[in-house]
Amino acid sequence: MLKNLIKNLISRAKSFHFKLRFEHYLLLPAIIVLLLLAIYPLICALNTTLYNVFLTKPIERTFIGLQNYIYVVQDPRFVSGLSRSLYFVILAVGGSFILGLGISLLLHREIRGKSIIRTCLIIPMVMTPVIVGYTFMFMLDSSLGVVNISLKFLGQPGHPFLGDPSTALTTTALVDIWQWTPFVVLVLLAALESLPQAPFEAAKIEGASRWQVFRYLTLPSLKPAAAIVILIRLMDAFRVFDTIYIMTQGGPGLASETLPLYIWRSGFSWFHTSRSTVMGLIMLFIIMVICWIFFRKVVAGRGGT
Amino acid sequence: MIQITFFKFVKKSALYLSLLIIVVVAIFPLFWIFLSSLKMPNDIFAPERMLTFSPTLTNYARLFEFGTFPSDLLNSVIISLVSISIAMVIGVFAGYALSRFRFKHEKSFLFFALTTRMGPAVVFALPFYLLYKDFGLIDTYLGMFIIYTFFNLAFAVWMSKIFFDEVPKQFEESAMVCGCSRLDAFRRITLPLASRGLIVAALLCFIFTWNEFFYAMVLTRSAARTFTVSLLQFVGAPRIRWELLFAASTIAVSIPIIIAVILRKYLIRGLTFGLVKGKE
Repeated sequence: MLKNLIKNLISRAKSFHFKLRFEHYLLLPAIIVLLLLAIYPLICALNTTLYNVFLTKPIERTFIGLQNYIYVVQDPRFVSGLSRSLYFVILAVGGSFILGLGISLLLHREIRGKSIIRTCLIIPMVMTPVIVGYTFMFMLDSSLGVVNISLKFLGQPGHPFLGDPSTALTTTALVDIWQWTPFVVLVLLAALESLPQAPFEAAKIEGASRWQVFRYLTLPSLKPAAAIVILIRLMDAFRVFDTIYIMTQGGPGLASETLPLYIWRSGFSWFHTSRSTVMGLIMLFIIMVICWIFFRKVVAGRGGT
Repeated sequence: MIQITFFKFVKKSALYLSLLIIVVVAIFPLFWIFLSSLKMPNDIFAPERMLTFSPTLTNYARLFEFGTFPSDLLNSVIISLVSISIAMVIGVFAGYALSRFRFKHEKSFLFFALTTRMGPAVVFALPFYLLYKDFGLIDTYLGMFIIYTFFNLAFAVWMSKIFFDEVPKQFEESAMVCGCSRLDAFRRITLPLASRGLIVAALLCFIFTWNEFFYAMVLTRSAARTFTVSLLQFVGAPRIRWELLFAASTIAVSIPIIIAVILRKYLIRGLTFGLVKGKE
C-alpha cells in the first residue's frame, strides 16, 4: 500500500519535471524581480496586519489577530478619508472626461496650428506633480497669488481656495483636472481621427442632424477609447498623493485628507504600521478591481494582448 | 448673404478664441514658473510689478550656493538612468518572450504586472521601508535603483511586448531558415526594427522616474535624495523661498517637457499602455 503510494508519487514527480525552454529563460528575470519586489513585501505587509506593529519599534510585536481590520473599518477618519477620495475621484475623472470630450470634439476639425495646440497640451501631463503642487499653491495664494489678484482686478472678492476647508478638496480636484484633461483630449482625439469616414458621409447624405450624428455615430464609436481613458484615470486619480500633499497636506483640518494622505499620515507620522498597511491593502484591493475590469473589458477584448 | 458670412466669421473667431483660451490655460502655470524664476524676491511679492519687473538670473546662480539642489538633481539623473537601464534590459527580454511565445499563465502575469504599476505607492512603501531598514538600504543608491527598477519594470515589459508585436514574425523566421540562431535573429533583425519603440518606452520610464516623489520621500534622507524631495527644502522656515524654488523647478521640469515634446507622437500610446494609437 505504502510502497504503491511512494511509487505513484515518484512517477508523478518524474512526469512533472519542468523543462525550462529558451523563452522561459527570457521571461525568468522579470518574473523573479516582480515576485521578489511585489509578492514578498505584500506577504510582509499581510503579516504585519495581524500584529500590533509600530514603525519605531518593529521588533516588539504582539499577535492581535484581526483587530487591526476591525479598528480600521470602524475608524471614522478612514471612512471619511475614503468618502473624500470618492468625491475627489468622481469630480476629477468626471470633470476631466467631460471637459476633455468637449475639447477633443472642438479640435477634431480643420484648424490651423493644430500640432502646436497638441504640443502645448502635452505639457501639463508630464510636469512633475510636486512642481505642479507648488505652482498652484503659489498662484492660488490668498493675497499674492495671480488668481486672486486677477479676481480683485475684475472687482470680485478674493478667496483663499486652498485655505478654506469648504473649497480645499474641490480645488485639489480642479488641479488634477487641469493636469489630466489633456490626456483625455489627446486620447479621444486620436480615436476620433482614426474613425472611418464613410459612415459620417453616409449620415450627412441621409440628412442626419449634427446632434443625431454625434449621438448615434460619434459617441458610440468613441466608447472603447473612452473606456480606456476613464479606467486609467480612475486608477490614477484614486492614488493621487503628491499634489495634495504639497498643496494642503490634507488640511486645513481634515478638509482634503483623502485616503492616500491618511494612510501616509497614520503610517509615517503616527507610526501605526499595521493599521496603515490594512488601509493600504484595502486601497490596493479597490484598485485591483478597477484594474481587473480594465484588463477583462479593454485589454483582453483586443484579441492579441 | 452678408449675414451668413458674418455668422461664419463670428463662429470661426469664437472657435479660435476658445482654442486660445485652452492653450493659455494649459501652459500658463509653466510660463508663470519661468517668469517667477526671473524675479527678485521683492518683485515676487509685489502685485503691481507682476509683469513689469527687471528680469534677473541671480536666482539660478544662487541655486548653486544655497542648499543641495545641484547634487540632488544629479542624484535624480543617476538613479533614473541606472534604474531604467536595468528595467529595460529585463523588460525587453520578457517582452520579446511574451510577444513571440505562448505561456500558460500569460494573462495573469500581465494583469499582475499592471497591478504593480497601478498600485498606490503608499501600499508598497511601508513594507519596503521596513525591509530597507533591515538591510541598511535606506538612503542608498542601490536601494533607489531597486525600487525604481520595480516601479518601471511592469511598464517596460508591457511596452516592449507591444512594440515587438509590431515587428512581423516572418522576418526572423526567414532569417532562422537561412541559418541564423534565434538569438542572432533577435539581435540582428527584430531588435533593430523594434528599437524606435523601445527607445520611446525607455524615455517614458525616464519621465515617470524623474517625476516620482513618494518612494523618494520615504526611502531617502540626504545621500540619495532626488530633486523632487529636494524641492521641499525651499519651503522650510523662516519663509518660502519662492524665487529659488521656481528657478529649481524651471530646470527640473524642462527635462520631462523636452522629452515629451520630442516623443509627442508616441506619448499617448505610451500613457494608454499601447492601447490607443496616436496619429504618427
